[in-house]
Amino acid sequence: MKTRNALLVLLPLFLAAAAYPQGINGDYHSYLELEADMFALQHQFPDIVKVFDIGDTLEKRNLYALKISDNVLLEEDEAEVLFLGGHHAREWISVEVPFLMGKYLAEHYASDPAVKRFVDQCEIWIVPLVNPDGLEYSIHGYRLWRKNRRDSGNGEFGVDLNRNYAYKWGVDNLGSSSNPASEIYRGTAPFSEPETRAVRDLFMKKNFQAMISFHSYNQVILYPWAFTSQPPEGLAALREIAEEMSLRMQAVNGRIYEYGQSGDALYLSNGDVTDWAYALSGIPAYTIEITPIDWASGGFFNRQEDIDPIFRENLPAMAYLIDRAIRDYKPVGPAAFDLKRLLFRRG
Amino acid sequence: MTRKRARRGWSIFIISLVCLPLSASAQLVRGQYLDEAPVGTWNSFPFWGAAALGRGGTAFTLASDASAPVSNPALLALLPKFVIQVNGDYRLTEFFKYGVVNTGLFRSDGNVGLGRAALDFAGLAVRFGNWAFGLNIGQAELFDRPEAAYEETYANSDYRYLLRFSQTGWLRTLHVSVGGRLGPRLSAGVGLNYVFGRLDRELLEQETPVGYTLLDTKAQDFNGWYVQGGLLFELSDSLRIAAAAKAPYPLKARSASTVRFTYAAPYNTDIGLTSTAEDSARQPLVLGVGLSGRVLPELTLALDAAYVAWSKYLLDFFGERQRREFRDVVRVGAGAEYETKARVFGANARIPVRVGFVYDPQPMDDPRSAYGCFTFGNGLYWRGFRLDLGALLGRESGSGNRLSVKRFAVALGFGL
Repeated sequence: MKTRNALLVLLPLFLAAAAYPQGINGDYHSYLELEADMFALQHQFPDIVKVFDIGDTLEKRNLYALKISDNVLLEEDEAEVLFLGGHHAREWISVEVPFLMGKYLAEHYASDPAVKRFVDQCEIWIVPLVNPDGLEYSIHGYRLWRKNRRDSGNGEFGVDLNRNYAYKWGVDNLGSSSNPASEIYRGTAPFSEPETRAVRDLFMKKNFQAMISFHSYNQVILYPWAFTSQPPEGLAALREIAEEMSLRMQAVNGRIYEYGQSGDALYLSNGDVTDWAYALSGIPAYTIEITPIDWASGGFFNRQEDIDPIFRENLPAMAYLIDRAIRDYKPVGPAAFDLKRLLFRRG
Repeated sequence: MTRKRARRGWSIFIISLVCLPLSASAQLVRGQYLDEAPVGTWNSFPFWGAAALGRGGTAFTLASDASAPVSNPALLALLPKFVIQVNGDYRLTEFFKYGVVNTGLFRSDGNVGLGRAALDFAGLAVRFGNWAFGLNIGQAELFDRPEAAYEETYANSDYRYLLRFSQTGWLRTLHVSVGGRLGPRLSAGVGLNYVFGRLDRELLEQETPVGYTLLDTKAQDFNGWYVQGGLLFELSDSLRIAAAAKAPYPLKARSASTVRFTYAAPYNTDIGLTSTAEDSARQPLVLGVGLSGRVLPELTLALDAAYVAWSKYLLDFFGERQRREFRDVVRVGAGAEYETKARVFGANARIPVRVGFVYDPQPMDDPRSAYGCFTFGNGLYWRGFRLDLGALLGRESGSGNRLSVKRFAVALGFGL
């Protein structure tokens, strides 16, 4: 009976997935398409894929996280990594890459020993679309929309979600802005936005060992700090991992992803998720700005036929980070793990 | 008819004509102007010709002209043996949030007006014995929006940045109907309507001579069928009640979207994304009731109520069900028509003068809003020729934007 009920619940979403072969934005996902595809993936691989609703947006859309792991319903004493996408509405490719990672892991679990190891020994969390409201406005309104859909009054809309995290929030007006009209408006307070609060809460409940936040464009791998050009503690390790990721990515399509400290290599930004994660936990936390390299080459526009090749070149970077997380993970032990779970539950 | 009475008729006609431009305003709801929203109001049924417009949109019981069967086909039985009519109107409608205006991209300091003039109706009705037939074509809805544009240029430079949003669209109805007397006091009629139209949206962002162009276009071709019916019962020589219904129907749409990014030489970047879809908008059931009575030989009062089942409205856009949190609404119109007479070129002329009020709630659940509209108008019927003028002045409350609507209509007809 349980199975039948589950099927009855899931069937509409499954059918919905079939009903959205290609919507207004082609092979890119809209919010509804992504929702349907995430649940379809869970339906197809129920043992290793689970969709979690981690919060609501301002426009009452759900924020979804995909967990890929063996014993997916359990919280195990193993490494955890986090992949984020779609902070910025117009960066459609940044939604596709992390989602395709989840799909790849699920679909290759049974056939690829390396993937099986990742899934068995790591809890991989993916939030492919942090800004669903913004994405929908980008699809139906203005393609180059960046922020969320916060109504700031006086006809101004949107907070730059990647300027709304707490660490060094609003430390200056170079890396973010206090003007609601600005593309990099940081909001009225740290975590003023439900989308960033959802990411924060997920992060605080888990014990992530590594994180990538995907963006576009510029074709570059960035590590903290973003708020300053002063180097962080642990710079050597951050650089070493970035270099390794870059080399592995280059090996796929020959495309070179430069790497560097965010505030030095690209531009200053404060209140971004990578700085916040690094400041909070000291984990290797990266921003990957996906190809192309500049505005004239397409900027926020990637050809539909390039979605899969772009995912393929980002795959080794993600795989490398998962592999490192597994290798470096020191089990906390049953007693400590129980305490950790208790704390996380309370958190 | 005495000369004194005839003079009074003329003076009322002239005074009411002068009053037409002295309008008030009306208001809309935040969220009213979704992309597919008709200009002015979501509740575009029943159709109001100039005469009905003047008396608060009461159209279910009173057969003023050839547009009557579009609202209630049973009224065909009450029309003259032959009547033909054209109707034109000018609408001045205020918007605040629509498209990319005041939703993030463009910002206005206040409401933005859109003026549109159109020959919005042509029709005829012919009666053979107890049965009559109507044929009409009318503009049911308009989807135009005020154009928004921003341009940047610099002295001593040929650089130019342009950002422009535009939307145009219309929906027309081809209506055929038959109606007649089923008994000495009961009339009935049915109508068949073919609906067709188009909606185009374009957003252009461009740098010239060197730079990028972003062109985002969305187009939809609409078509659909619906049936309607009506009953009219004359309780006495001076009192009528009516019921009318418009069936729900799917308004089908063939949709096409193109988003194209190009960058000038030497880069020659050209990235496009084109999609097509077969979409549908499920239009709601409308049920109407009307009551009218001749309280004095010259004075008729009328009351109409139209229930629109907007909670059943469904919209699919490029295969995706769009979120529309709508509620059912009841639009109420009340009006009075006072008829006087005058001598015009040696012949008797009838001069009706009309006033009315319309309460027109919009379907969005949040925020809730409604228009309150005053209407007035008059007519001149002489030797079979018919001239009607009507005006509606309304303002919305509930959204905070106090949007106004104004409509001025003129109808010319001939009846035997």
